[in-house]
Amino acid sequence: MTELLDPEIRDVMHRLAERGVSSVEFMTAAASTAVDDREVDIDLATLEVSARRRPILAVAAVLVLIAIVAAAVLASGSSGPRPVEPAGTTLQWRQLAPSPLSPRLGSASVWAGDRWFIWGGSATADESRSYPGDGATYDPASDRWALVPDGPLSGRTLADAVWTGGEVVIGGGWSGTGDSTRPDLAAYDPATGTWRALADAPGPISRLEMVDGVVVATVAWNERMSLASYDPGDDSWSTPVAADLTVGPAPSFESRQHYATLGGDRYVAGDNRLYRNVFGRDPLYELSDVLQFRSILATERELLVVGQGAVGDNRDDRRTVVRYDPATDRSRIFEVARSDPGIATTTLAGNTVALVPNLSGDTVELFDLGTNRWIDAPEAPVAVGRLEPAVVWTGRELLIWGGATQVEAEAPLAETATGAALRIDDLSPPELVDEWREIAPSPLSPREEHVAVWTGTEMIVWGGRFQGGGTVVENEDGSVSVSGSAREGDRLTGLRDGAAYDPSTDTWRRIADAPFEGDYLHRAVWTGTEMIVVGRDRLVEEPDAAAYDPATDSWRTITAPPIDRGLHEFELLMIDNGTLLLFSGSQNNATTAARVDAYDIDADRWTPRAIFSGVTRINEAVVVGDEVWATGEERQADGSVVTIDLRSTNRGESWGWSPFGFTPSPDSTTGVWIAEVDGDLVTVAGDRRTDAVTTFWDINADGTPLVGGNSVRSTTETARSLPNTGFDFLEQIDPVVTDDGALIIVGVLTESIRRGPDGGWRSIGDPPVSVSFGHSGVWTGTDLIIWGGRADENGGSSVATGAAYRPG
Amino acid sequence: MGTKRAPVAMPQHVAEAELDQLYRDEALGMTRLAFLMLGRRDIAEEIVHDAFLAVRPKLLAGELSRPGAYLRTSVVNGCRMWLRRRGIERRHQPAPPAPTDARDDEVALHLALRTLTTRQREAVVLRYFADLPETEIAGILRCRPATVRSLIHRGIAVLREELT
Repeated sequence: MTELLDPEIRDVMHRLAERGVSSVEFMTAAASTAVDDREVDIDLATLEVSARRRPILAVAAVLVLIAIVAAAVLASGSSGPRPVEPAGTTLQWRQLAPSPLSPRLGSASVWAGDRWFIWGGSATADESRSYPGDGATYDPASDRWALVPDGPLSGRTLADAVWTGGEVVIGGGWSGTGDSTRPDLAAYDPATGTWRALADAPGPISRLEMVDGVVVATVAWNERMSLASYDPGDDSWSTPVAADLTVGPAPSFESRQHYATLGGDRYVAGDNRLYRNVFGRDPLYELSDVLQFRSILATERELLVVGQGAVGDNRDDRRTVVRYDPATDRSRIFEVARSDPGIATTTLAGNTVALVPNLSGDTVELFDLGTNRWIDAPEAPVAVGRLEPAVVWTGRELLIWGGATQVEAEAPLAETATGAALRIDDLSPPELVDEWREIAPSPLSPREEHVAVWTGTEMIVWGGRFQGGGTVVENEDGSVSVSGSAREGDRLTGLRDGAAYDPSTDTWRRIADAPFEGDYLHRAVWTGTEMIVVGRDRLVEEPDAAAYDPATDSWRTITAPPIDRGLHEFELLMIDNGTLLLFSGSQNNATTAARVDAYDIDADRWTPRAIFSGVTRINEAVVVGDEVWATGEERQADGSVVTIDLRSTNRGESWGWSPFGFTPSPDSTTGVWIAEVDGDLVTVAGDRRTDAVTTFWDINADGTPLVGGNSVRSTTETARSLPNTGFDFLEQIDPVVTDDGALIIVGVLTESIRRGPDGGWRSIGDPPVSVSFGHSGVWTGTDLIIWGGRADENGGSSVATGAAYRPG
Repeated sequence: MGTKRAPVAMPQHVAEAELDQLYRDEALGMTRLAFLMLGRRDIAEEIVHDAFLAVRPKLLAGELSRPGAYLRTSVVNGCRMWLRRRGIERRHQPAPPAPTDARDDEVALHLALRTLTTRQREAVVLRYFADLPETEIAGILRCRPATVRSLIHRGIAVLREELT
């Protein structure tokens, strides 16, 4: 066959596809045949399944239904990547049609299925306040308003409203008299246009919510704050929803408490503190005292707490979104500086937190939950910065109406009856959880066997070497790639440059060049302030040793370790804030024994700690309690190599190393890595003979944590086999242990895997960049970031691409 | 106070009609796309069926502004998930047979597609069969357009080499 041009490939591809699938018979003829066998009907238009004719066959129908529902659940993303609509950002304002309501602020509003319900509020009238008791509905599809008939409630401001699915329930609010909110409520049925009064709540209502289909009121009386649930059956209230929330003074309606319910827990934010279930004691989270929480929003799995305040001498206003995940008890805070004076209200608009500014501001502020970035919306057709507006998210648009505005800086406040709608489409994909994503192109040339450390804010990548015989090409986006493949005999080029990657901004910065070139023999560790690199060029007598300080973007040479040229395979381990251990050995040198040396960072001094006779090298070492546990290889008399393990207690100058003997099948394993997972020491090993089997062990047979305080409970050391992963791999980066104890391993030649809380393993899929070996990996606390390496296990060139995986 | 969220549900009859039209417009093309990804018609049909099941509730809930694009992404993800589940087994099995009535060049392409990595095949099929622009492919594959260009470039190079 002659070489195909692109159009020819396209043509053949279309012909092949048409040949392979001539029609969609599975939905028509073929499906109905299959379905007939199961005695069920499939409605092709709706894809619904129902039993038919013979009742005895209903069981079969149910089984098919379960299978199809399970397939739907699978396809909807519960066990795999969730599809998202392609990005196509749309942020577009329109002005709402003039409303029939008078200008006002503090109206209650709620989205009522297909229309927006707005009721009550307050307005200035002849230098006094009025409290209108009328309302209206707005249909965004037709941009039309309709007045709501008068109901049983007196006019009031700052009432709350919820939608039950059939009725709007409205209650609470302040009617201009008294020192507390009102306890009375009423329900409005938009289908019939009728109102009915409901029984009073057991106290002044601060907030109404729908919790599991029940109307729940936050009420406060007798200096207590509690929850009351409404029973529509006998039109009564009960208060068993939760224990009293208040241990301090009860909040008033004028106070700044904010509430949300998530996973059965009640969250209250007051001032700069966030509480769970109990208010006023043991805050769950505390902002800097110059910041104040302004609202709590709950998604299906996390709490979004929005705050604001002034920080620093320039008095810039700050916006803060704290993302709190109760499942992991982990908080992430995202802050941005703003010059606007404040936030009027916030709402969850799809995958975006929308902040409506207070008084001044031509548009809203958006925080994109998909990318954790703040986004500027275009200017609105009317000023949307206003005091106590009504705001709602329809699923497509953010609607803002009413409130009080300030035409000029010195002008008095004036209520308004104007409104605007912001269409928000596909701002970003949902946050990538349990999925890989590609990270930004790096400024570094392709490389492999480089080192990488996580500083707490950045991933520093340095050194390594370049394998390639192709041409280095600079891409349009600034990244660098190599065209063509390496051939046998191509030179490996050592590299002395590096860069730092900030995942919060998805950006890179170059770092200063090191005083020596990288090689595959270098190792690095983060001390808390510096990245220390130790290693050697095999052709040079003196080992390399230097420290990089990201604060000054500079390197300093440190004392080199006292090891001879025969030792060139290293493992570097930080055992406390002031001491490093360097394990060195050589797989290829039968006469040289592996050894360990300790480095005192402050004194810049190396001290020999042990020489392991017969041991060729140490593969991995970890700190478990106050001991160091390591695995390595030992050469036998017949020349074979077996896996060995060693442990030693950190006792200053008098370390003693001894075998601890749990390595599985020492004569058949290779590449043993170890990691501590919730007190278990887990080993990860490939099978030396077949390179196909992976065995996992830990030494915690009864589930009791091995590490109690700072000591290892040796009495519980019994090995047990963990489930086999079912995946083959020959080599991998160090296992990564997540905050919830999961273990992630990015394999070579195969899928990456993750061990879940149940101990089982599952694939986490392929990264969106090609990796085979020689890549680096760091764990940021939320993400596993891999970068560089070789894409093709059979040759090819080094790469300069990376990806991040965030466990779900 | 007073801020709430709620989806805009599409009237059911409208959503059903839209789904029906979506099926008429897309089912055949999506199945062919999945066939090119997998080399197997039976699994392609299953995955497309599952993708339609996934689209329906979102269409009813009014959550999709581009249901066709969502469907395509579901199909690509479904193919990837299936290939992933096959894992090691896949690597030790012969390539699925080409259609019995395929011409020589079609058989060659059928076999050559199996030599591509999953992502190269996804990029090539989405570009050359689905005629999607690089930016849209990048959205489906969760990578950058430059990566898509690279995947297509390398994928086509492999196909050319296999087909000559």
